[in-house]
Amino acid sequence: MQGTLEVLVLRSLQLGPNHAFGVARLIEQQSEQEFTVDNGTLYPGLQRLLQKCWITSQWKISPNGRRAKYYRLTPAGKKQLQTATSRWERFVEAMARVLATEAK
Amino acid sequence: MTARELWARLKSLLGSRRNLDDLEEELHAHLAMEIEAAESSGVGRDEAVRRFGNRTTIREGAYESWTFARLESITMDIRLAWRALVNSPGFTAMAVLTLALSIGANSAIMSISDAVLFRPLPYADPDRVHVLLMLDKKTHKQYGFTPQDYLRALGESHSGISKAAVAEGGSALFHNGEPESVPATAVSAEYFQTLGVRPEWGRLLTAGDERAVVLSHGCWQQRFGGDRGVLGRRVHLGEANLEVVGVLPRGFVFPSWAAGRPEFVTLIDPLSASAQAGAVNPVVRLKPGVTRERAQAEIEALICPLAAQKPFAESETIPVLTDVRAQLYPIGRTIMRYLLVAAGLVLLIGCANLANLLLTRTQRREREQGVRAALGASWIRLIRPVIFESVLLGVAAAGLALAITSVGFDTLLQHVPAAAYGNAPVGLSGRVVAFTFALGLLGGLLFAVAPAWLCARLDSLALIRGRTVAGGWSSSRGGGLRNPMLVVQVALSVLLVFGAVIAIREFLAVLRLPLGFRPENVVTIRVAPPAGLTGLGRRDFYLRAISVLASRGDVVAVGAAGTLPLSGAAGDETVTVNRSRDGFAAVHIQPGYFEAAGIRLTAGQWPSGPGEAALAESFARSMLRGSDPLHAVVYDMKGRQYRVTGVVADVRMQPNHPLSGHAYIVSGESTRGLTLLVRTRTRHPTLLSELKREVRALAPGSPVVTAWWEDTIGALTYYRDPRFQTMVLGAFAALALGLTGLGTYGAVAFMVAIRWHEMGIRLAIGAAPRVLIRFLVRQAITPVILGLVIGLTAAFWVGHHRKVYDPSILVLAIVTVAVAALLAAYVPARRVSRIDPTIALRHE
Repeated sequence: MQGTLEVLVLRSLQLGPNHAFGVARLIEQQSEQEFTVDNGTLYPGLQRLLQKCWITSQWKISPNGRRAKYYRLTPAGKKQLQTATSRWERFVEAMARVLATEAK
Repeated sequence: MTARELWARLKSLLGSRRNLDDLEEELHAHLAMEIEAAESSGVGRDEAVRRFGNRTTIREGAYESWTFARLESITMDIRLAWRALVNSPGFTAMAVLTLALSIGANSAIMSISDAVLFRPLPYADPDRVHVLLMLDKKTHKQYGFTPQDYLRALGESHSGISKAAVAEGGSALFHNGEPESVPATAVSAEYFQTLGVRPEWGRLLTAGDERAVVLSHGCWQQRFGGDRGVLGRRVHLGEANLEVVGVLPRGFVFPSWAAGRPEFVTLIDPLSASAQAGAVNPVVRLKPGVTRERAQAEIEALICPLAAQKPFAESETIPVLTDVRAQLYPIGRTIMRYLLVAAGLVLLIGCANLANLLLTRTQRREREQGVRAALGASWIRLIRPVIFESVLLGVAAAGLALAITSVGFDTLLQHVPAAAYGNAPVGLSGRVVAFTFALGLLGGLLFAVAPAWLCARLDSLALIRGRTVAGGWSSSRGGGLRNPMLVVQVALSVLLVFGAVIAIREFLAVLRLPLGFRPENVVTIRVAPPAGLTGLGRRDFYLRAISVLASRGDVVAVGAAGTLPLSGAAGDETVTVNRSRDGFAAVHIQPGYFEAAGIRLTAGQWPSGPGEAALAESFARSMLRGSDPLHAVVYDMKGRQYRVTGVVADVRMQPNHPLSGHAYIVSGESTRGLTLLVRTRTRHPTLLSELKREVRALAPGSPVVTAWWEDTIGALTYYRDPRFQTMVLGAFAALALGLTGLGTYGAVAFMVAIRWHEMGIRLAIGAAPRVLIRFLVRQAITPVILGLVIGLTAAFWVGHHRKVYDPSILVLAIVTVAVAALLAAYVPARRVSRIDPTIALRHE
């Protein structure tokens, strides 16, 4: 779905700054391997978020001593995550209602 | 998009190189982490790399997500096109010059014709403003003068039009140190309101402004330096002392010829003889929602009962609502259309020739294009640099064309007869600039079509297989395209040159109308009679001046008249002929006027003394309807009789009106100032001051203004000047032929030059250089000859159809094209035949 990946990236960054590899891993773990993140869509997604100024990037040294580019949520990104989350919740509820009526 | 977002994108655009490096490093780190994780969980390195995905695809995807990526590729293509142009300065210079000349011809013509043909008139709601002309229903002749009783009837009873606003052009003596004769116009109080004009500064004239004057924009700029403090200043105009109250806006045009192009505008004197008799070209405004047809029907309903009471000759003449433009520029519109057509054809010639040149140039770069295609460039990326190249050429040419036009405009204007544009505000304007650039862009896109098409269907495979320039598409498909292109180019050019020249000849035919008088070597002397003289005394003063001047040895004839042809005014007084009710404009003259002005006598004899009159030919014919004009009697406003003794030729009273005429009366007493007309043997430079001294001696204290008649009517006489005709025809023909020659040369020269490799082989196996040259020239000339034959046939067909025929220009066209083609074939062929075969072979 359009924008799904972006919400997931923003959500994973809410836990703290992370690099692209970490973001991908986090999403996979939290979804219990339901979502696999393809790098071919992750990177354009990150670029789009950077463009919209919802995240910023910075080079840092990772805990295991490697130079990596860390992404961090901006205040605008936090706000966007809130609206996106509530939109998703409404969407999921609506889907559930529709599917439930269908079943009866 | 917020400003911050835009900034982020711009930053990435500017530092795109760094961005890419950054991305590369990030991907590298990512892969390393992926491998590390995989190894620690025992999956293996290969699996990690597979899972990571295609690095190039990821990079491209990330890069493309920047919305400016497309823009970046466009700037890249523009840079590519720019480099291609800079790398071949010869081609670029020739292309820009060719296009600049053909666009320049258009913008120059447009800077004049825009005002005449296209630009809306500077009034509020200009479509509702109309001029009243008198139309003779039988002869369909038009007259400018509308009688007062008609105007009154329309003003009182017509429901759909405003009261007629009138303006009367003339001149006045402006006292500012040396008195100077300046164009001045008097308008009725409702004039500017009817037109809906806003002043540039101050206010315009309304009722009660008898002591006020309004300046034209040009007058305000030149005489008063554009000073805003000019309001309230007093100026001396003739005998009046007037207060400046406002300035007319720049680019304002009076909607009728009779109003002229005044520097000063005053309020009309309602008691003046001319105002009481009627008005020349009165202006009315249709009320909202009223159509011209409805208003015209109502005019006829109102006027017909009045006309029925008039004598037979005038009862058929009724006022007609006329389009302002049609009335202002009756000849100008025709002239400017011919000139525009000619200039448009010249542009087509330029484009046709340039298109072929660009096509051959694209072919020369087929290998470069082939490599780009093989590396995966889409067809859009392939043709984009080609299109940008021509657009760049077009824009550069438009800029150069504007520069040429702005520098040469004044010279150009001096050579275009004023009849072509009348009092329209001409010159380079924003509209002309936009038009020029539009032409440049359009031209650029037009001649990019063929090369772009060629690029789009480029067969990169054939190129990779090692076909060379002479082999690749040039011979198999392109050759099949280019040879016919050359045929078409030559044929089209010949036809277009023919068309352009025909258009110019028709333009000159419109101009080649006689003036009806001969202004050469004639001095005009404006002098007011000494103060204190009235009636007969004034007349005697002029007679004395005439006899004094006539006694000079270098003077051929002397006369005097109240209104000279082309001075803007219609006449001095309103007269009636044979007791008809209607008034007509008459000019006051003193004996000798016709000889001095060079107006022919067609019947009877010159009027020689007071109480005698002459009629102009067309006036006699239309007003007297076959009765003998030599027995007609003219009555002036005071009822005095004048016996018609002769009929004289018509003269051009107004620059772009057909020849017309009126009555001339030799009045016993002069109420208004006359202009002395002195025909001299030669145009001697000191004559002006000598004559001025003589007249000043007769009238001490009176201002005297002398000028050569030819100069005062200035550019108008150009159209009788054969030099002007030769110049216009020559300039257009030279431009058209020059462009054709250049284009042919370029195309043929290239065709020969690309075959140097083949020629090298022929030389190597023993061909004689002389034979090679003959062979190459013959091959190059064939399509040119074919094109010439087709072009000539088409030109003859068109000429036969339109009944025009100009063999001289066709011969010239043939010679130009043939010489250009021969030269273009011979010079490179000679060079090719001299190359060292080993170099040609090694080059492969």
